[in-house]
Amino acid sequence: MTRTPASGAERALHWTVAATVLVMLATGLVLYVPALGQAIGLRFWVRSAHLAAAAGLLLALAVAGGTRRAEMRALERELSRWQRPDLEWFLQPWSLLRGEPLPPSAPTGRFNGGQKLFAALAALALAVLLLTGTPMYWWSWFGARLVSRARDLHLVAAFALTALLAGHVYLGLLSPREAARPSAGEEAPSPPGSEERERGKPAAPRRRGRVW
Amino acid sequence: MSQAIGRRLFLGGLVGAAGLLVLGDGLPRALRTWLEAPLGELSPGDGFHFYSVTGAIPAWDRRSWRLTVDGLVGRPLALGLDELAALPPAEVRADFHCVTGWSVAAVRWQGVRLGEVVARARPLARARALRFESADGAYVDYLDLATAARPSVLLALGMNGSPLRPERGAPVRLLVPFYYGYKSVKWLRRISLVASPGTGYWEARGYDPDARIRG
Repeated sequence: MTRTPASGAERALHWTVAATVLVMLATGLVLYVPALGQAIGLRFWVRSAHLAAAAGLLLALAVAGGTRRAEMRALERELSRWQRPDLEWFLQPWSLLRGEPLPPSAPTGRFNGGQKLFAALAALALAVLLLTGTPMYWWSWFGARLVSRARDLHLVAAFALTALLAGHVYLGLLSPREAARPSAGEEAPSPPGSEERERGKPAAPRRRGRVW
Repeated sequence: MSQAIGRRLFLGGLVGAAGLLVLGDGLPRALRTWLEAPLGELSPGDGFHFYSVTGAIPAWDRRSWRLTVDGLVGRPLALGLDELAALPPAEVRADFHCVTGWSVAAVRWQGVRLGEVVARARPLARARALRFESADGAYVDYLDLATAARPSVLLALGMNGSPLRPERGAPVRLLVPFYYGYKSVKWLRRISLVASPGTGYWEARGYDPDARIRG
């Protein structure tokens, strides 16, 4: 089995974020869905788990940013920078749905357009959940109308994040990396600007296009 | 050149969300309602969401049920449901607001005035506050005596013309229309007059003791 080119810190951060988000989705569902709330009750404890997971996520990001500053900045840059092949990635929706190997990523990075879009939107959804969760928690500092809007936006962001995660998990389970990276054996992230082809990946014909 | 599209998506979206949060008017609600629509039962028929801090709705029996009024009173009471319902009726119409951001507009509550019941128990001069205990065995809350005496504070027996449903607090709940919903104790079984207000269930868990609804 081939290995994804993710560092230990990136893996640790990924699975910490995944665990806290799953706890928040599960407890959020109990707080929100009437049938679940009625079946489980215990509102204080469910709410506490929800808040603890949010605090855990923030703590994980702070620790990652504090101890691996340069690495996290490089990761952010890799995920944020788009080039033409990242847009071309979106032109093959049917190969995605059929589970065929995904088009290769941009020549200068580890991530394809879908992964970059997911990263930006998932980060946005989490930031909106934090932004709107704040007045929901400190409700007495805000007016009822703002708290009501915060609740509505919190739910919209939670719906969006759930849809994004469904796509993320689906595409992740297809394991396109193995098809796209038959010989990638190293753990270290490729520094920005390095060519994936140098690591033995077959060159894709569409790679000629100038960067976007 | 490559472009920092991801960062722009993130920051642009965040600015948009902050704008909707502060100035959004009806759009956030419309978005949420549109997303919820296919899920039907997430928006309950009467508009209320059910919250409980325990695992179950307390069971009760009409013949043996009593509302106890005790503590610093000259005449402790144990009122049956029929005795309570025989007191002068009162109705309050108010918007119900939960601190978690949902509201129900123009709810009509039927019941009796809390002040009426408290007066019948003849509070002692030392009594300054009321302690409300829910039959769920966990939920407790307090009101000062002056607030409890306000005419819009009810012991509600009915909502919108029907007897209270179990999940709304049957058979009797407190209704404090000018406070957030967590002050309106459901499944009320005991009112004790005390010398000073204690700490209610949610206040003990971080809620602001000032429960007044602010625009």
